[in-house]
Amino acid sequence: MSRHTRNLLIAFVILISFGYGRMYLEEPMAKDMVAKHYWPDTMSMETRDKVGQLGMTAALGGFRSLVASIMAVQAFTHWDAGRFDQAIAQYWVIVQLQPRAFFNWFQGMQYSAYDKTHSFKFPEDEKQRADWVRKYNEAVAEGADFMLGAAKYLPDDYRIYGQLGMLHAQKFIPEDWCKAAEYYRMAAACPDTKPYYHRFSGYALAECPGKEQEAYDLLRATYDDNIRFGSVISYLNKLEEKLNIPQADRIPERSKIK
Amino acid sequence: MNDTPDAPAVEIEHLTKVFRVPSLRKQTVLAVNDLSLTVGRGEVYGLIGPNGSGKSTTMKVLLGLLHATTGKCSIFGRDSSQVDSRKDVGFLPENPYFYKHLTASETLDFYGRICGLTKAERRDQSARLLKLVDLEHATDRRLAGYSKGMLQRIGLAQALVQNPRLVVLDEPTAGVDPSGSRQIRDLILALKEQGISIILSSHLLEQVQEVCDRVGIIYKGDLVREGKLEDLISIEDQTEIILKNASPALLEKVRALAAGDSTEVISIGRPRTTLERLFLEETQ
Amino acid sequence: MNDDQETQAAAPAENRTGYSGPALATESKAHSMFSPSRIWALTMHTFTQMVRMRVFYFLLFFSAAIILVAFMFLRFTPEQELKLLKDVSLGAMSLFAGIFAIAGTALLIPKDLEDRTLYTILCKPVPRFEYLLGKLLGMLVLIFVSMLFMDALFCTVVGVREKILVKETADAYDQELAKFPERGQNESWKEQREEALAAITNYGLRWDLQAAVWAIFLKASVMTAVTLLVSTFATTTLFTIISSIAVFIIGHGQHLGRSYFLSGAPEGGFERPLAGVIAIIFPDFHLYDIVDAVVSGEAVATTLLLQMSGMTCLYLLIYTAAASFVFSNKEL
Ligand SMILES: Nc1ncnc2c1ncn2[C@@H]1O[C@H](COP(=O)(O)OP(=O)(O)OP(=O)(O)O)[C@@H](O)[C@H]1O
Ligand SMILES: [Mg+2]
Repeated sequence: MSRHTRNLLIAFVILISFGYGRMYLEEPMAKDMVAKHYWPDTMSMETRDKVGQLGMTAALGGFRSLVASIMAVQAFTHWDAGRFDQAIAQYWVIVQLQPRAFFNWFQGMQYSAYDKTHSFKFPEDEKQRADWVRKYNEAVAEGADFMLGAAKYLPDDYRIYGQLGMLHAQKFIPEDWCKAAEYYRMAAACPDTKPYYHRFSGYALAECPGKEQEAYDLLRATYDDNIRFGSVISYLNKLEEKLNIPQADRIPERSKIK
Repeated sequence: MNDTPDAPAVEIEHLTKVFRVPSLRKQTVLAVNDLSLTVGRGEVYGLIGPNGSGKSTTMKVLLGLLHATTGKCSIFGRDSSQVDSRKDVGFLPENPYFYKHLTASETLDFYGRICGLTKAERRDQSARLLKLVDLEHATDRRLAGYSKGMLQRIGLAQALVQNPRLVVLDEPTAGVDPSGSRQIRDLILALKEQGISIILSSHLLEQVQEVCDRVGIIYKGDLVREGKLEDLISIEDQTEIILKNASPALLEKVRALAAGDSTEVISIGRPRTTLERLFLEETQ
Repeated sequence: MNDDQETQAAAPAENRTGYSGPALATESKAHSMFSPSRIWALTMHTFTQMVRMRVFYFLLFFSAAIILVAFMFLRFTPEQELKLLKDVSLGAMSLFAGIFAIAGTALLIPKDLEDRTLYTILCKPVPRFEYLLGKLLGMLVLIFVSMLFMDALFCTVVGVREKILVKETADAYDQELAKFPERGQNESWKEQREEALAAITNYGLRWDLQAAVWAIFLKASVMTAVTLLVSTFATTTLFTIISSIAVFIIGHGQHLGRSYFLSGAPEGGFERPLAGVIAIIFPDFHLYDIVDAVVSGEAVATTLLLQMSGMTCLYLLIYTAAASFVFSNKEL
């Protein structure tokens, strides 16, 4: 055996032992990284198909985010040309590529619940109204699905529940105030949340049949905390009426808003 | 393994080098076959042989660039396979190309650095060697624009950068014009005067003849003859008479004298390069 | 010390003029088997070589690409715009670092061999592993310097873009306010304005981006060591480049093989041993993929960066050791 052959063998042994040994260093590191959300879960078969061969290679090569961005540009082009269904379909893939980026979900939701719904022409003909409402609500529901999907990956993100609240309070026909109130409540319970969600849940509760007392208690506490915006006052005025709160306990302000 | 005071500059013992040729059938090439030679201190040794006879291979093994299949080489008593044997050697490879992106002075600076020279030493050596090889005018030009002769000379300067005690030159005059090769020959003689040992290879016999103390003739990997230049050149039973302004009458007399002494006149005429004759004789 | 006496015997001091030159300090020194200054000389030489091969011209492409993306007119949300800019820039950085690491390194040794410049170095008292180390470090310096440049440009562009977006958004809110002055009284409107501006700054220039850049550099370092290792036993440059690219790609999926191998999937069959072989042979490049997380706004823990850097050192050490074993007795 020549010296070179011997050295080749030594090099081979070094590499193999290293390869074997480092598995036990790298595996815990990798597990830790998954746990800390540096990586999304492995892609589903369906996503792989949609990303395509080239995109798949790129995504594997550490360019997942870039692939997502390129797809976002494509989606944008679809959107620009009014092809909302394609844009939305793109976004379902994008969110698979980067499920922990909120704005991907948000963008998908916007395209669906806001932009697509706006594109439906309101029918003059009464008979087509029901059909229009069904299509409209389907698009809003798909938008809500984006947010529900996001909630799986970002369960603590107040923006998700805030958006869901908004969809139920403003977009669905008819509005579902009770659900909206529930989502606003969840948003208000999230870390780093915005203070207005608490009030919003109060407003929505006020519209939810049977929850008036709860709404009154919540808004009254807000008022007592010295948060006395126009909406707080007008809702309290209404609720005091409805619940027959004794005059002495009512707030002194009277809202001009009806 | 240490440097011993009486060790010769180069000692090659029973060197055999077999190359494996990458091919389907396990072909091999015997490049050097059981070659032994010694170069004494301060000696200039010429290795001559036709193309493909194994000169470069011998030198590469000597410098540790190739491994001997069997046998061993040493430089000043240190085994060639050890890095420290190269401390005192300068090497000029055949058809040298240096880093084209460097200028002449950067080249010498770089080789000086890897030989461990200090900054001041590198500066001095660079100036001195560039003067020595007559490249002062091209100091700051990149080697990409150098001619073959200039490359050969910068190669020589590079080989001398750490003041080695042994210089190995593989075809130092190949592709150099006559005046250039005279310059190189003068340089070799000057190095010899300084007591530097030199081993050089060539198939241009004229230069070898002028500078070498001893030559070895190598053919198809075998060292076929070796010896002091005078010994090899002088043919025992032949005498060459060189006369100046000899008249035809004198020549007749000489012929007559020779005939009377049971000698045979082979030729009278201009002498041929004797080494060349020898070379052809040995390799035909 | 024998050395010294010998030199003087061969060439007496008075003779040390003219051709043979002055006595050098090195002549009396014992030869050291490891010399940082020699390695540094080789490192800087490699770096200069690459620089004079005009590799930095490639960086112009990078600059053009990110400036184009930065100021391309896209009616995206501000976050999307910044994300795209970061994705493209960091992607381009990965790409360039990868190309430098693979193509540059793959050319180094074959070029030296072809031009016979390798002979002129190795016939000096330079141990072969120092030569390899010099090449490796030279490439690392090259990649580092080019990434420094790209990073500086990247940060500037992101910073400028962020400022512009903040200003545009603030202006939009201000215009709205001018039109509907009563919104100035509306707390939730004011909060939304703050939120929108905060979202942009959250998405702008942040320290975590440097973590991503560092991870890219580390990945390219490992890739350099891999390519250097391959080039010590490869016979052609093309082979080196193609196998290094293959290692690069498979290295990103290596973790799948490893988890499968370690998961204790049922014995028997060839899948598990195969997964094990893949896990053992290929480096895990997926470990360095934090760019996505950083771009999506995840914070990067310092411990992770330390672990990553440590792993990289280990890779460099082992691969260079293996490479010098292969190279040390190679016939040149
Ligand atoms: N790396 C190698 N692989 C295979 N064979 C080789 C190798 N190097 C040299 N040889 C063969 O070894 C023999 C000797 O070659 P070498 O280069 O030593 O000759 P040379 O005397 O220097 O010739 P030239 O005068 O042409 O330089 C040749 O037959 C050559 O083909
Ligand atoms: Mg030769």
